[in-house]
Amino acid sequence: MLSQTLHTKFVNTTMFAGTKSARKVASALHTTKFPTALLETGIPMIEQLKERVNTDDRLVRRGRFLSTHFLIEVGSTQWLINVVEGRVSSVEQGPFVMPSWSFALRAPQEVWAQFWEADPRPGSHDLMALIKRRVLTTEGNLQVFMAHLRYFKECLAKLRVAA
Amino acid sequence: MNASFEPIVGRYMNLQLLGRPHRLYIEEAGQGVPLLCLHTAGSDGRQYRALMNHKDITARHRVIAFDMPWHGKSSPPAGWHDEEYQLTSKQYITMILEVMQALELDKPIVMGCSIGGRIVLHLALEHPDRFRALIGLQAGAHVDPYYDLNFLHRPDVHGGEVCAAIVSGLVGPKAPANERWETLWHYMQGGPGVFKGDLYFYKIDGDIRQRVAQIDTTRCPLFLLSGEYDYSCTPEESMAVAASVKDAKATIMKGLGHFPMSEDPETFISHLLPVLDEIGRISRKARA
Repeated sequence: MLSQTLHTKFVNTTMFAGTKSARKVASALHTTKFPTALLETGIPMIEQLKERVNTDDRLVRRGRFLSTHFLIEVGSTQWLINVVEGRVSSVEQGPFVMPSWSFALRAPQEVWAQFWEADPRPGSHDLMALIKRRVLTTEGNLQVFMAHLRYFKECLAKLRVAA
Repeated sequence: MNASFEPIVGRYMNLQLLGRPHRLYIEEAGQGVPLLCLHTAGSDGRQYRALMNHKDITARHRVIAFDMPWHGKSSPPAGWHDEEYQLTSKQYITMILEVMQALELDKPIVMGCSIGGRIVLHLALEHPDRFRALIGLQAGAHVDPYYDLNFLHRPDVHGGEVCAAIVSGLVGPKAPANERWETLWHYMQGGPGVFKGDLYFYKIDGDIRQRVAQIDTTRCPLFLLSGEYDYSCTPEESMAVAASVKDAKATIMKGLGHFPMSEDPETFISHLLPVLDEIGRISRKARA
């Protein structure tokens, strides 16, 4: 399973060699030994979401009625996250050909980097603060996002450096 | 374990409000210059629990907080089940003046937060001679809607959960956990559509940008206290009010958010006490 994952990443790296996302993946492969892996851009490894959410029993319980795919766009890189009954079952990095998702959260890389700082500044400390500042856009079926807003806030805050 | 009572006393008052019979829940503690406190949208008077338990404040002030109709332990008026609740500036001002009259408050200090902070600006403009001083917490002249308010009241989104989740980031990140979650619990307990109905005033009807510069602080002193983590009414928006109102005094409270008196009472009271002292000095000077 591990080798399969690494292989997939290797293929991605090869296929998109020289692109920004390929550099990110290559960088990520070298930083996995650290407990909180941060890419050079200040963006954490989104894949960490799976372990960090799934080991938090209270968060998983809060999401027990939630099963959905949602998309996060960090600058030009897309991530598709699948949640099944509160557990993150997969985190896939784009680009995608025909991704299906219930809602998408899109923000420039530096906006996410500030959101994921250990001690974010006022205005970068909460998803709704980003939305208020018009630097995070939401689209799709936002009923899913709003009905489980506390879950998604806490889920994405799991990627904070000190989380 | 010893049980103990807090000095807060709560009572129900029956009165005519906005031309209809109402049953309002009112809490108070202390003696002295009345300090009438107005809670935020979608919450209730419990936000001021710490002030009513603080001896330095209650030794000099009769601290009073009423739950607005539809909020906390106050009832909505008869017939509510066929109405959509929507707070307007006119209703809000009338309600405050009628409660003051019913309680026979003579020139109270009125302190309000968020929607309460906004209405304080309306009171300063329209009824300055009725008040000893006005204190606006998280007070701005206007807030643009930044999410679809319909999510606050629809059957496929739990109202209590979404209201608390919407405002959770408005609490400063370093607020004590017990006070943070007490503050959010009040939001979780709001009735269906009530937070949304309050925001009609906050985001649509209560825009006072064009008139705020006309506030005359020689008739009623105006103090603004705002938390730095508030992204609903940002520190910049409070400072803009202070810049356009001559002699309005504004303080940005570091580390605090949108619910200073409830999310971190100790820090907030350290900012409030000097303001109450100054109001005392101004009042003594005016009498001399």
